[in-house]
Amino acid sequence: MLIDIQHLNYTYPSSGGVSVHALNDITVSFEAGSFTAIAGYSGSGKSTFVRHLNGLLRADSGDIRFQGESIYGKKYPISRLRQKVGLVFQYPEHQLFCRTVLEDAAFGPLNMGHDRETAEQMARRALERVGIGEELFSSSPYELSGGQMRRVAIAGVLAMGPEVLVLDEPSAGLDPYAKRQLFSLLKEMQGEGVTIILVSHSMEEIAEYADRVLVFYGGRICMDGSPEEVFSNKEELDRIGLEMPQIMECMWRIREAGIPVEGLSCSEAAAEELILKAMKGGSDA
Amino acid sequence: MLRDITIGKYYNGSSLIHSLDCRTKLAGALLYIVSLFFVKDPILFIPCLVYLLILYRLASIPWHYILKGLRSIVVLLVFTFVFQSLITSGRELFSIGFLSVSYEGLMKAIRLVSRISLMILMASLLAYTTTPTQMAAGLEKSLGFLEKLKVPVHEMAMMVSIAFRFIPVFIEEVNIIMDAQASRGVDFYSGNVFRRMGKMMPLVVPLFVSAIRRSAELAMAMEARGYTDAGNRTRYRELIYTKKDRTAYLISILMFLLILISGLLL
Repeated sequence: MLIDIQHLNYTYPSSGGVSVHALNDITVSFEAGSFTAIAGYSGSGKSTFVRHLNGLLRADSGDIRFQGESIYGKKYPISRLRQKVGLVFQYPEHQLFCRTVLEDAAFGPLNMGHDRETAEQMARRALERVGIGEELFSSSPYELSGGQMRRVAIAGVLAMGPEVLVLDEPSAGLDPYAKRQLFSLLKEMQGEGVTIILVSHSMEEIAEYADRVLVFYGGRICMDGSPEEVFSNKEELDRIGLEMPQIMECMWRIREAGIPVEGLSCSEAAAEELILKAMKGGSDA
Repeated sequence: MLRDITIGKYYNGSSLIHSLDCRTKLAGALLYIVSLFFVKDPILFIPCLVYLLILYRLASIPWHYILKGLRSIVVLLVFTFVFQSLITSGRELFSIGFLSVSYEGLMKAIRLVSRISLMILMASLLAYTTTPTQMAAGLEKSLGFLEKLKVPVHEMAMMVSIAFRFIPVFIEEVNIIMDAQASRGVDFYSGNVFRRMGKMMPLVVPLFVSAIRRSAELAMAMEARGYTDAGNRTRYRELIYTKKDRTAYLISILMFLLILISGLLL
């Protein structure tokens, strides 16, 4: 296992009165090269959880092992962990600050202790990956469009060459085209062996791209499985206030209407096939 | 540490003091602070302290909040005390080497330290029981007469209350940006002062950009809802004096006169 998390607990330090038990006995592990999505309503502990993955927050109890080594060990180099586990925050474009795009993307590698030349090399490669061309390298990040800024910010994390990429709602506020581009990049990176952990509110995104879904509810993981498994459990979804992806919802309704669709699927192609089969079966009879 | 900033230390409650009109509280605090300057004999600070403690009790503020207010100025108090007792000449009480402490110096030091502490405590009580918005509204109304002298009181009060309103927003933002830059390998907590100051750039630039963006958005939203600075604006929550306020004024003024007269006599 790449990341192995045991009985993680975290309570936010209280400021006058109520303390928030944000994570409650979380035990979960992530395989190298997997694509895991994390869902759950706002305040369910998702963001708190991902902040533990690169040591920004330190759990009150429990342990996180990264590549077999506890990150809470006394001698564990936390800066190396931050290089290996790249964390992309919500609206990452708000964190741009350098004069030029290239400088900003090179900021991470520089902090990792690379010399300027190597750092810029890494930044160039990352920027090209996210589709930012050479001609934009020397412009100010604030001159770019929203989507471009987002990509530059993501490149800033990619430049460090992380083995695990954690993204907190990376597609919020992007147009559909930019979204598709972003996700094809993530899929491509997964293909190269990078582990992806994605926090998302969009069930469609999760259904389409993730291999596994974790559902957070009140600081606990209440569901864990493939998108098909998780999303077909309608009762549980209703209880915690999540919705099925539209495709599944559609199949569900068809079934409710009396047409016996076998199984529920998250992918459009499979759904189409199942629905057509059911309809044909109906007309044959 | 940067993360521990807690400004706007309003203590949520529904006590008698909380429910007073903020103008009453402002006037009461002001009278008290002024009266402290007339106190010469340190003994008189004891009734002043008792009065203050009663007010804290009435406001149902936990005792440790009182110390919290003083903790931030402990260094100032200690320095004041030491220097005042050393530099004032007079009847010598005792001496350590070439430093000597005089009776007059000690008295002066006690007086100053008590005065500063009581002032801070009263000001904190005001901050604990009055939200910044109320404070701005109260100031606006109290200083309303300045409008006649073409001082833009309303606009200034508006700016002040907006500024207060955004403090928690920016604290939240600082935390997120710090986390994000830490994820890119910045270590905010190591290195000497100068190195740490250099590391503030990745924090300060995004914060300024976001402040400008937010203010432009806010201005637009306010205009979209028809805000103008022209004409007399009415308030959602009118400031009205009640019987409680009249009693509070009476007590404040009585206390003021009492301290003033005894201060002048003793």
